[in-house]
Amino acid sequence: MLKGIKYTLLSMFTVFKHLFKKPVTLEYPEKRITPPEQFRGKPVVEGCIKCGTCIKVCPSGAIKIEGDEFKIDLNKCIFCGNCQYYCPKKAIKLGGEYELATEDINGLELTYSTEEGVNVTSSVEQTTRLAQEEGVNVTSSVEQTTRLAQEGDVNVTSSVEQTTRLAQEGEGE
Amino acid sequence: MNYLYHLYIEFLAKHGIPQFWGDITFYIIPLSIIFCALLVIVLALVLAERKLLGFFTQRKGPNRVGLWGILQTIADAFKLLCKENITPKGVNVFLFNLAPALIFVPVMVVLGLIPYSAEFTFMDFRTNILIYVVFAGFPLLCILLGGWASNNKYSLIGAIRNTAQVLAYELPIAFTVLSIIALSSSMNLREITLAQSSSAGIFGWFWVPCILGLIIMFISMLAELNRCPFDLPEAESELICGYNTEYSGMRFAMFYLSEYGMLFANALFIAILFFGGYLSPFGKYLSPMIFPETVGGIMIYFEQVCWLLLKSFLIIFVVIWVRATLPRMASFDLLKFSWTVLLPISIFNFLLMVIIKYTGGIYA
Repeated sequence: MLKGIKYTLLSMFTVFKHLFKKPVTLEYPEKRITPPEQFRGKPVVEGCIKCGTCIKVCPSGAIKIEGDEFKIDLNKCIFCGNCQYYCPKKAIKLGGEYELATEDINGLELTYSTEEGVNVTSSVEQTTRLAQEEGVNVTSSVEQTTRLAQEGDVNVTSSVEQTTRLAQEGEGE
Repeated sequence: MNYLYHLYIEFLAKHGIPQFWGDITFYIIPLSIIFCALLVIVLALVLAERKLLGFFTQRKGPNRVGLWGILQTIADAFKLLCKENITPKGVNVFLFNLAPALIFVPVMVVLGLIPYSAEFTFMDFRTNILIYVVFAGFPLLCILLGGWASNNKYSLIGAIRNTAQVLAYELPIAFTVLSIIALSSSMNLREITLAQSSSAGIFGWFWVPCILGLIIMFISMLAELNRCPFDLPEAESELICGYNTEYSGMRFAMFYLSEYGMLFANALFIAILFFGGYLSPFGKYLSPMIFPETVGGIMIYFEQVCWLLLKSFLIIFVVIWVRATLPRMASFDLLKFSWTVLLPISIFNFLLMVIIKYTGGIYA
């Protein structure tokens, strides 16, 4: 009984202290929070070389490359961030824009233009070369990742782990 | 009240209207004053509750309509007025429509019994306090009526829960009121207020000897008003909306408004019983010091109203504070708490007050 009274009064006091604290909510349409760096929002593509890695690692099959057009269907996209992780050129970035509601369902298919005059098959080699020029040894990891992704039945989480491990090994070599 | 009456008769006499006409029409004035004040205060209370709950939970509360969201409740009231009144199939149409209209009767009566200032009691009977206690339990009947007429299991369960709850908590209220009657030797709310005026100022008010009674009265008031943590009759997670599940539009608004009207009336009641009603906490009134001689005499009445309202709003603040803190009680615990804890303590409190009355001192 006495314990109950004590805890009731304590909780009342705790709630009273909240009167003097700043509100944690924002008046949304006027004020917005800036999302953190790792936030996975609307994908932005710039400088794509059409290597096709992202198509292979995308678990929901949202990415298509048709000619010079890079297409992401946000109806299918699950914002897992695999494409951003595996992109050899860091061309795709899941940006900070999170207000993606629309009245037009076709508007959700985003189209970006790719870099012109780049051959799809040679792109992986080029990436390797570029990486070597920068002094980073990522050759084996990129190749292995592509192979793993090609096998098709790779679990997303395990592939990420494996890639990390592989990348660490690659540094060791 | 006599003061206002003489003013009115004099005003009519100036314009050559006979006195019997004034006698008949005079009672429209207090009624319309109460009604207008009630509407304004209820709308303000709903807004204050939402704002305060927002602050207690580190939110901002309504802040869109008007400056700081002041017009929010007015917009809500308009919305409810414009909504369609749905009468579901299978309800008892007459009782279904009667319940929300009846529930405003006790609110109006109860507010008329309150002495707002020394000259401003609309119904100054010798047994004011008894009439108040009887009518404070009256909304129960309307809720039972509406819950039964809705022909809905949730409404009926809500209404039955409300009945059990109010019956359990009416008894501690009765004993506490009885102890106040014993202390002040009067059943008139104005005389109870005057009995608290002494040289001791704040400590002469009845909350000092009757602190147990104040706590019991506050808890029982929460239960009678179906407020958190005793809001079992309309427990959203269990009973949809309890007794007003089937009500919509203006008929729902009537239940809602009367709930807040009763909250205001009960806060006034507690302020009168325990916190000296319209008495000034400084021992003397401030208006003769501020205003010149001629106006100061009249301004005292307005100052008294302000003190009473201030005290009642402080009590309402605590009610909202409790709502922001405590979760809902279980149905069985609620009844057990009243019968096994509150009732014995309130009887003991009554005994204590009688002893204090006999021994004398400033409270006798």
